[in-house]
Amino acid sequence: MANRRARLCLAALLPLVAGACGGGGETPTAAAGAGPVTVKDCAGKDVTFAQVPERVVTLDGYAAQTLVRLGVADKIIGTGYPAPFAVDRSPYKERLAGIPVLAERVPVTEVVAAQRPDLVLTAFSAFGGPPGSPKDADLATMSAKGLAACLPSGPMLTDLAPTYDYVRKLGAVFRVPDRAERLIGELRARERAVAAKARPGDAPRVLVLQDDPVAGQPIKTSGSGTIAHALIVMAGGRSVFTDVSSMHADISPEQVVQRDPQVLWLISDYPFAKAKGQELADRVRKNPLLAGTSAVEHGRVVSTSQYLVSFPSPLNLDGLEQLATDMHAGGT
Amino acid sequence: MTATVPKPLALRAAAAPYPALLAALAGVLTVSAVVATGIGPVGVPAGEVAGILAHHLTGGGDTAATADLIVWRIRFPRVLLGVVAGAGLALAGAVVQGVVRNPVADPYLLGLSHGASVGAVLVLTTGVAVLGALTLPAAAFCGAATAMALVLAMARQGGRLLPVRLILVGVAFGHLFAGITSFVLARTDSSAAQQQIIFWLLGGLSGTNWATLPVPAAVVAGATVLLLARARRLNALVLGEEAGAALGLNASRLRWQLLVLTTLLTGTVVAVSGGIGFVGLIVPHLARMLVGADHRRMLPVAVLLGGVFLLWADVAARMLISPAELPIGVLTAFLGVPFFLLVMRARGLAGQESA
Repeated sequence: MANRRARLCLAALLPLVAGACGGGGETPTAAAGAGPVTVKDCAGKDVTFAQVPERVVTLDGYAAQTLVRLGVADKIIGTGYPAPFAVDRSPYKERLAGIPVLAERVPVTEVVAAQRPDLVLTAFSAFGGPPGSPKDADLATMSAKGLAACLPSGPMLTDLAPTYDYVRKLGAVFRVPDRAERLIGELRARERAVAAKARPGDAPRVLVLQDDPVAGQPIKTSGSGTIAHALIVMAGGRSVFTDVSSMHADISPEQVVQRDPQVLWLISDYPFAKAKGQELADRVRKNPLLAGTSAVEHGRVVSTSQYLVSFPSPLNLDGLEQLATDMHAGGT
Repeated sequence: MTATVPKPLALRAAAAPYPALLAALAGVLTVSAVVATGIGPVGVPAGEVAGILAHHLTGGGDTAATADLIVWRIRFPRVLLGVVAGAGLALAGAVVQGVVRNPVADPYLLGLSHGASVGAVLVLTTGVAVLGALTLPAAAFCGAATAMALVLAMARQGGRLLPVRLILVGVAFGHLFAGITSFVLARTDSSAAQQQIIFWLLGGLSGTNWATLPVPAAVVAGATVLLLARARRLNALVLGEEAGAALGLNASRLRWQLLVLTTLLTGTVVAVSGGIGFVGLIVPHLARMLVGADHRRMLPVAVLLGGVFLLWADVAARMLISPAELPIGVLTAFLGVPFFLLVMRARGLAGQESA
């Protein structure tokens, strides 16, 4: 096997593969000799990788969290937006802490280009969202390929297909499809364990809150097109606002009272929120707007960090388990 | 407060002969372009920047160096687009102010920029990409053209195009288009699209590459030449309907032509840079303060000043909260307002005669 790998290295032109051969122990065995790999980007266009990417920039921590679980974190030469690392677990947390941070937010084009990446990843659904961050054309300028975690455009998301698709896509690109399938298998097993505990026919009405509501202002919630909505369904609940779909949808306080949620799910850590974590939960419990809801009367207020449930990432399952446990146990 | 404010030294340049002023401005623009190319979130030594620019400007090809990628393929096109966009917006503003004979006029006032926004926002939210990377600029241009066509059609009365009607109809349509933009923004599901829309509304030059540059550069250059050739008639137009007629001028016809040219100019610039405000309003006045209201003298100065101004506004946009980036519209206001007030207090509002 070692002999075969050595020959492949010679054949594949030294400068590009030198790194991969040097770290021979790290390179996957399953598909080490495979030809070009082609995956689809979010627009359905083919992206072809002749070699395993060696210089990867992750624009946000979510993409890095997926790579570290695929065992290819050593390919990451820099990351932006490392905030999601804070909620990760050992041993991944330590591994992620070693990745050079390019910017606390999503880095701008120039900063990414200076790294000379051959692949740029984002778990957001498209490139070029944050001001100045690289768009598809900028990636072409720096001759890097780009892969975003695609969200389906449909109005309703009820499973974690975007998360699994992204893991599978990256597994193919980094020639570790077996590791990707193993990871997906583990995540699906956790998903099934949660589903097994749900009581059918008894789906509580769940309202997602992202901040402490203020009288007279619309309330921010996660709509039906988001990962958060998928988690509610998978945890055995149902969202009271399936008629809005965006990530930060505005809803009217009157409707909240009328639809009477039985569980309040606080997605914390959004930068616009007035309070975070436990403090947010305390404020929401005392909020007169929500005092009459079944959720507050029965103390069913669940809190989760947005870093677990906002974008496709293996940590979505952590968010799911948290929600399911607290939802059925009666809250924190 | 008395009106007699001592003139700052820098402004004595205006007392210098006109060709010297033009040459000085052109020099400032050139030096600014080189210096600005050396400034960015990734530090590249000044000598290396100069070397890379010299290498390419003398016909050298792309090299594999990282500095080459950043300086020549990412930063320099952006600096040049800043110059082109600034020049184009200043020119458009100067013409609109002349056409409607109103000192607060700019492309915004006639609903042009808002029309372009509607086109762009529709593309950003629906994700339509019929023309690939050209979809967004094409849609923005179509939006501006549609807005102008609507405004011209509604403002015409008995074959005549009167300034007051133009302004009123333009402002009305501007509000309608702004309303549509806000509606689409509120309705959109994707937060990535929302971010893009907000950034687009305030303008920004990030994402510029060499392929972005030729069309706006050609349009701005062509419009400058065309307008300079018509500068005399523009002067007559400013005098008003009767005076213009006495000079043998068909005012409505000329207004119509100039507005079509402005649409082309604004549409092309807004399409590549988003809705950058304030440049079209303020730079023409600065130019008038420096060299008077005669369009033959004022237009070239406005073009150069607009270029320098937007170039530095963009440097500030990418440096102030580096490595993140600010929308450039924020910076045009931050830099422009104090500068404008300073010059106005020092020189008096020379544009008043033309209003």
